[in-house]
Amino acid sequence: MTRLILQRLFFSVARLGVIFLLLLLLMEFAFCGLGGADQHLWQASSYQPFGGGAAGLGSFWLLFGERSMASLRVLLIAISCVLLIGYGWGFLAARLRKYHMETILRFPFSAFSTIPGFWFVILMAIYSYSIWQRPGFADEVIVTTGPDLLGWWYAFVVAIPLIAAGSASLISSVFNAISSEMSKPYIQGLFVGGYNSESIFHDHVVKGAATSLLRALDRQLPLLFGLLVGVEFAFRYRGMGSLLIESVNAANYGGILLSSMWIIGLISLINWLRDCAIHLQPGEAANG
Amino acid sequence: MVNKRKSRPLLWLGALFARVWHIRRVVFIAGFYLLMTAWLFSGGSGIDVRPAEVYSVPDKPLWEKPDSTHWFGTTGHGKDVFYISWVAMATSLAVAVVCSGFGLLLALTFVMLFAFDQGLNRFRLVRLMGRTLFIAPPMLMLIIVAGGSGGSLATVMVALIILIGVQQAPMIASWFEEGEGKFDVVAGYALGLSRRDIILYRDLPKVLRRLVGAFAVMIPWIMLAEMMLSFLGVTGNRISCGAMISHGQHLIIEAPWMAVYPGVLASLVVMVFSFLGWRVASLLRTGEVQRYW
Repeated sequence: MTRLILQRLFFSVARLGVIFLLLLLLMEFAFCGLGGADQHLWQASSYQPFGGGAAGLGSFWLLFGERSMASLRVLLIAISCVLLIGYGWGFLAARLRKYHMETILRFPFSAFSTIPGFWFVILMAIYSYSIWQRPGFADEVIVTTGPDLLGWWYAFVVAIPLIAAGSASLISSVFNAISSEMSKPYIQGLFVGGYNSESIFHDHVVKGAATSLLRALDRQLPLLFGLLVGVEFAFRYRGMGSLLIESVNAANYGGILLSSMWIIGLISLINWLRDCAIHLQPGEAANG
Repeated sequence: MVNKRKSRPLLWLGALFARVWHIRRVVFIAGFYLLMTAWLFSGGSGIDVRPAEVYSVPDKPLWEKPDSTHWFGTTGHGKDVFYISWVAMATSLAVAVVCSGFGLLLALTFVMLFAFDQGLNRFRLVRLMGRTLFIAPPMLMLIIVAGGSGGSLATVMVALIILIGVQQAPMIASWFEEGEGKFDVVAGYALGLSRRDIILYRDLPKVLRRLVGAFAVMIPWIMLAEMMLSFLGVTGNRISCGAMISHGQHLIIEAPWMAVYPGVLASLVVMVFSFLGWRVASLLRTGEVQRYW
């Protein structure tokens, strides 16, 4: 087991390294090759303090911690909701396959995911203005005692476009994984053999589709993180996504590298966990 | 009774009718798709397409609220917001069509470099590339390229084409692999057809059919990505619903329609293209297309 985990870790770190090099090349090409910037990536003067923070390691870590916590809060809500809705609805849609429930169950999320995330922000701002007479988040309201429910509420609002897009995509993936397992000859054989449909579904279909279901676990991450960047900036939410846009606009390489690698690192971490989960399944482990 | 043989044109017409009848649903949906596209592109020309100028507010604004004459209201200069949004959506659609088309073509060309090879692991490099690039969200790469280069639509389009090509190549490779186990391919091998013949005449037609579905599904995603980038201000000074919303958000108290209504049109157009795209993909049995945008 340890060998497998380390093996997967090695591949994840290697992939992360390749992407890091690619990112450096891309930045140098975009800023200096296409944009005509004088500051190259290898020049120390290109790395100024970012995100409006003062220079110094202490303030850097403070800013980094604050921003990453804000984004992690959004991601925690978004990913848990996507997994709950995606797998729940996907299983339900597959169980009710003969009634074509997949389209109906996916419809609200699919329809919502066609709404541009940044436009949703405008709608929220107008709603806030009509209720509280001020557009956007009430940033000056700071919770000093008790749990920071207001912060969680802001994070939830930012996460809504991510939840819609991710759920629509995951429902489809889960439905396809189970449907393809259900159409296999051995499952048809079990039906013909008179097995109980509940037992076929839970004991055979889900077990058989386990690898495909696990593979679907992180498939939505590039989409979610891509949306996070745009939506955070639109909401003026101080997270890692908005840090990326602010750094790109200010041509601050340090900020771009830090926010990009934070995003890529998180995807890589989840991807590694998923890989380990797949390879540690009893059947997969036996296959080596 | 006379055994009268049908003329050649009649036979040809009959065959054509049978073929069209066979794909009538696809034709019906594609008709809607083309109708929608034609409507968007009939949006007119000769208007100022620079969002900063279109949305600038003069000292004495001439804006009007939405009414029966101006469905979406007017800008500070008295220009119809619906008309501008219409042109903006046509731009987004044009970008999406060009990028999806060339992107998928690039992906297909890349996969074809490996498709003729013998052996089960011929797409190993494509898969490895796909798995490595998976951890880098394409939107992140696009923002860096577009923002770093100073922001131009041409740069965004080239970057989009390359990213689509790279991201979708593993999907097309998997379609070729799926085709390998099909009856006609196995029969082709049994009959002694060459690898080239099997790829060109058995696998490729099926892949191309599925590619049309993938193209239809990707159009609304790319439209959303383009709008997002223009909202962030990295696609140059050209009108797009994203740029309109971005400029209009500063006026949500004085003239909220300038930010709200372009979004309504954008959402409706993207929704219609999404549903048509899913239908086309379902009819052509494209299978699941991974959404990255």
